[in-house]
Amino acid sequence: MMHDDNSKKNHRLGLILQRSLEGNLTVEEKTWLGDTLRTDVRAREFYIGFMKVHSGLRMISAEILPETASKNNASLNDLLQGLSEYEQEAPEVIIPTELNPELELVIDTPSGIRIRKKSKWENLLLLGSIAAVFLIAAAGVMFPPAMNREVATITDMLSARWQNNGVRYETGTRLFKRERMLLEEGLAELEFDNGVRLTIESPASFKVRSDMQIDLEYGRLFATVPGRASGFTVKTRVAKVVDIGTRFGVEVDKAGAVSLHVIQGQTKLGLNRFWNNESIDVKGGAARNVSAREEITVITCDDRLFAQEIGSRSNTIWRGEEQLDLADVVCGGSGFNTGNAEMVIDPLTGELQPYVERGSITRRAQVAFSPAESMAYVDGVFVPDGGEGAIEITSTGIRYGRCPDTSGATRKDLTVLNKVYYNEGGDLILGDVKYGYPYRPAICMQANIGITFDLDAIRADLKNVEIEYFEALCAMASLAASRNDRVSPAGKADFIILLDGKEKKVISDVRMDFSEMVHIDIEPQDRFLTIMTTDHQLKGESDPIGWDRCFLGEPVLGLRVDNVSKE
Amino acid sequence: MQGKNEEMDYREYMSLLSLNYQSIYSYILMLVANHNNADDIMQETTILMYEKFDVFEKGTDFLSWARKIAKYKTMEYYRKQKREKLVFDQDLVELIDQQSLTHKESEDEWLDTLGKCVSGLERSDRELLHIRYHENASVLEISRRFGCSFQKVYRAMARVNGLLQRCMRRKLGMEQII
Repeated sequence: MMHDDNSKKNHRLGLILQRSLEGNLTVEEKTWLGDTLRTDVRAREFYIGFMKVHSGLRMISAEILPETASKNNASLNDLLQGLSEYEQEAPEVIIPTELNPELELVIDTPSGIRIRKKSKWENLLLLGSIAAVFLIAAAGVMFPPAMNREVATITDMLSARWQNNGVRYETGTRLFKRERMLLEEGLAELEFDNGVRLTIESPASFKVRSDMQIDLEYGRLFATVPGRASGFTVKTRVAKVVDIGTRFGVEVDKAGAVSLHVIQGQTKLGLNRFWNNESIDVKGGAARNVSAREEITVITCDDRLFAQEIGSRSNTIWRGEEQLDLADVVCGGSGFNTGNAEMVIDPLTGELQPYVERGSITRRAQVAFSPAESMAYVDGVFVPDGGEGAIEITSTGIRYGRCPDTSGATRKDLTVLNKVYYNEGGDLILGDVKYGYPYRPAICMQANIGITFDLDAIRADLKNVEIEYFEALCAMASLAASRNDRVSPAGKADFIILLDGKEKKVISDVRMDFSEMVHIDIEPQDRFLTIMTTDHQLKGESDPIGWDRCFLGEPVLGLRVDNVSKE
Repeated sequence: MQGKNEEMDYREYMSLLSLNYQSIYSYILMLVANHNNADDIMQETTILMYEKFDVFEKGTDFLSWARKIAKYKTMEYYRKQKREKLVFDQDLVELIDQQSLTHKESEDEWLDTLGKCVSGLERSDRELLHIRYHENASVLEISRRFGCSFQKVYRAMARVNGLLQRCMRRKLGMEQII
């Protein structure tokens, strides 16, 4: 009997409390509620439990971004319609004639903070300054530091512009749980303390929810998740992607539609709903689209859609390309079609500078090796001449002792332009095939010239990528047909290719029209790739470099994605 | 340099507030049983906390500190407001606060258990919670959307809350009171 009384009282309490929360109690009900709680310890216990459940539900829901309203809550509809038989037992409910206007003056901040605007609030100067604090929060920025709240670091940025309300986000900035960020331009790379790496492309709005979750409101994100962080989750308004040790990209448009492209490994994709615990497996090479209306469809996996790695020193954006173009690097690019074909490297200084037609002027280097300080992936350049012993070929002082004795002279810059030989015999051509910009990628390397690439600098940017090989067509250009009647050139030269100063390929005494496809395997410990052409001079020769129009056709580094750690 | 320190303090305050906002708000709500009143008090509490942040001892329990200020502000609110606007009075607030201290489970434990209990609900109940808490729809909005009365929605909400309370108490080994 006692139990029944309690049950009835709690039943009424529950109903009244639901309405109390929304401010819909009558004076009589307030009195009853106050009296009951004041006199009945069990009622208070029920009340405390009720409020804790209510607040707990608010807090759980705050962990999930708002989603679009569901159009079909058939189960709930059945439930609500089915409750009609109890209506007569229900206590009277005061139905407000309109919504409480104050309830509509609410700012839901991204951090879940709710601020209700009030006129008196606006009238107080002090309060105004605090309101500004919250308006900043409402605009989407949460500021941190403190104990063990940091979960990630900005590890790189590329042309990034944040909506940051005065807070400086820069490489090295630590990020905090619940920090909300709006990337208006450019790209950013975040690394979580558990090893998860994210590359985010603007425009993007997201919140670092914890070390195991990011909420992506809109934008494009690529995740590389090590095994130890398996379970890392990307939540959007309509979907959640749970990683199982993998690499995947998520794109969310401003309407909320999501596309998931799994490059490697496996993910679980589910709808972001309270009542939905179901998910589907999406494995490497597969992709799914989740519309704003929560319809899941199969789409083709696009393994070039996402910026997977970035490098600010070289403006590198890697979208999964399998080869890095060294010709693009020579003209100031990242290897992924970002260079400027009008730029050349002066072999005497290592400076990247605009192309100047040098004609047949012969120059000699004053220094052995010139670091290319403005170029991320080029260690330096030199004019090879082994006449006086070993030559320096890297900025770290590695020397090569078998360099041939040359004239020590050079004539051209390192360039990718086809027109570099235009005034001396036409295009850079091999048979019928034209090389150099704007035709096929090539690096003009008229003897004597040398260049060293820093593979570790590339690895530093492409963190999850292994450099597997170097390939290029080593060639000496043909003479244009229009010039055949003028001279009988006798170009001759050598190609020498080194890894960390060790010979990997030497091709001696090549002549006009020569070409050979060269492939050199590269190991993870190899740092410097050096390529040089020498003039193979004969004693007494007056112009040993005049026709040594060597070039590297389509020079590339082969890239292979390292498997994500399963630790 | 001064500016940088201020920014650090500001960021730290906002970080701690952000992390604990819901917990502070929940505490206030428990003392007033009404969102409008809780919103008012929360605003005043956050202002006072900001003003007093320089005396907060870094590295100590921010939430505990914040709750003291929240309670002070709640009591002040009760003193200033007209009786008819309030559900409780100061004595009852004190009673509720003292009794709530007997709940020893941590917030994380409570939320974790609550999440499990929500998972065990019928689909229709979870849909209701989703709309109410996730979409933040008012009871009025829910009733309009489903073409039913307020009463039904209030009843449904109260029933689900009761189910969850029972589940929570069972899982946490607390005395059943329903």
